[in-house]
Amino acid sequence: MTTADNWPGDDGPSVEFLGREFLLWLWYRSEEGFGRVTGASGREFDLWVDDRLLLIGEGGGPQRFDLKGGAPASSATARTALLEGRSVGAARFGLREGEVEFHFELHADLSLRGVKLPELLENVESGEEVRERMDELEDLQSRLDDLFEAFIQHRLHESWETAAAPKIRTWLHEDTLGG
Amino acid sequence: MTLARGTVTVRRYTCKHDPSPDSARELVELLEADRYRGKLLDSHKEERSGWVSQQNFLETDFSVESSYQPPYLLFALRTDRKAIPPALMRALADKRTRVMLSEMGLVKLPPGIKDEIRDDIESEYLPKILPTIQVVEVCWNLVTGDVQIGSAAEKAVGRVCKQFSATFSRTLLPVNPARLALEQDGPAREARLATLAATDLAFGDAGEGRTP
Repeated sequence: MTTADNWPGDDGPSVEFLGREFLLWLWYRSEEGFGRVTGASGREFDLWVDDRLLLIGEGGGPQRFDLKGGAPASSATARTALLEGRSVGAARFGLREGEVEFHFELHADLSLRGVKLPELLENVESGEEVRERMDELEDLQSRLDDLFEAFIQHRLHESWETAAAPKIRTWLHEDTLGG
Repeated sequence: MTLARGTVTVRRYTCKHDPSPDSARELVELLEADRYRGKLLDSHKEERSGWVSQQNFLETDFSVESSYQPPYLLFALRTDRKAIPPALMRALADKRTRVMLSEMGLVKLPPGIKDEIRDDIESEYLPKILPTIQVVEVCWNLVTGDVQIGSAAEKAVGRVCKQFSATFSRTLLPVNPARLALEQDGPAREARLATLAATDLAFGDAGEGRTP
């Protein structure tokens, strides 16, 4: 598992857990908001965990649950793994804003894999496809940056441990216990 | 090519640069200077890398018209590797060793001869073997500074970073959670990040959040 700490060229602070907490926060917010999440800018998106969840042990250790297919976010296995101390290493999401829809696997280091971009419009000129697709990719990244900024504002706020984190714990425990 | 069609896999880096048309021309000239120069049937066993066109990795003639689609500079790193399959190398070396021992009337070869045998085999067979070719696409937005590297493999991405730095004399900085967190209000957040610890979601404060 690649972490935020071992990216080639990285020299930033050692906070690799932030990416894993971001993934969990996205999952939590998407369920708590019935699929509706809001970025730091106020933009709203439909977001859902799609068909993959990778749950990893401390430091990306060898014990991992790679849940693929179906609806892994609603499985008791996923919640139990989290309560046993594992964290979200990667998840496949669907994100929609208006008519635009993306499907992508987001890893804790913020790398994107298997991104399914929206279909290009038919009037895109030949030779312009890469530019159009790069525009779409950057649009997706800008939406994810917006969501990450919303997360980091919560995460760095002094009320994280007293308000936000307990709510996530309650959500985890209730769902695991079938509440 | 993943950036042109199909699903996309990327790691995002950043490298700020002046987006003027002249600068795009300069960057294209730098790509041209470090273009891939190997040949398919070269006799080499070390890796050979160089920049190639994103449309076709056999093309290495760079021009602003073909490589720059404002604001994106599009190129790819090609890396060729040649190796004789280990089992074949062992079999050939063993066969030649036995012939030599028989011709020299020895039981054991003198030091260094084994290496010579392997070198001879490589010289003979490497030119006949096609390389394993890896191509990693790069897309540099010269306005925002975002650089998309079309791979998630650490080794391949590291190779692109190294070559990028050598060609453009600029360092690529990864856009990871820590860097993204510092994009806004950096100095204040840096101090906060330094003291941040992972959230214990299972237990928290005295089991807060548990249901009976």
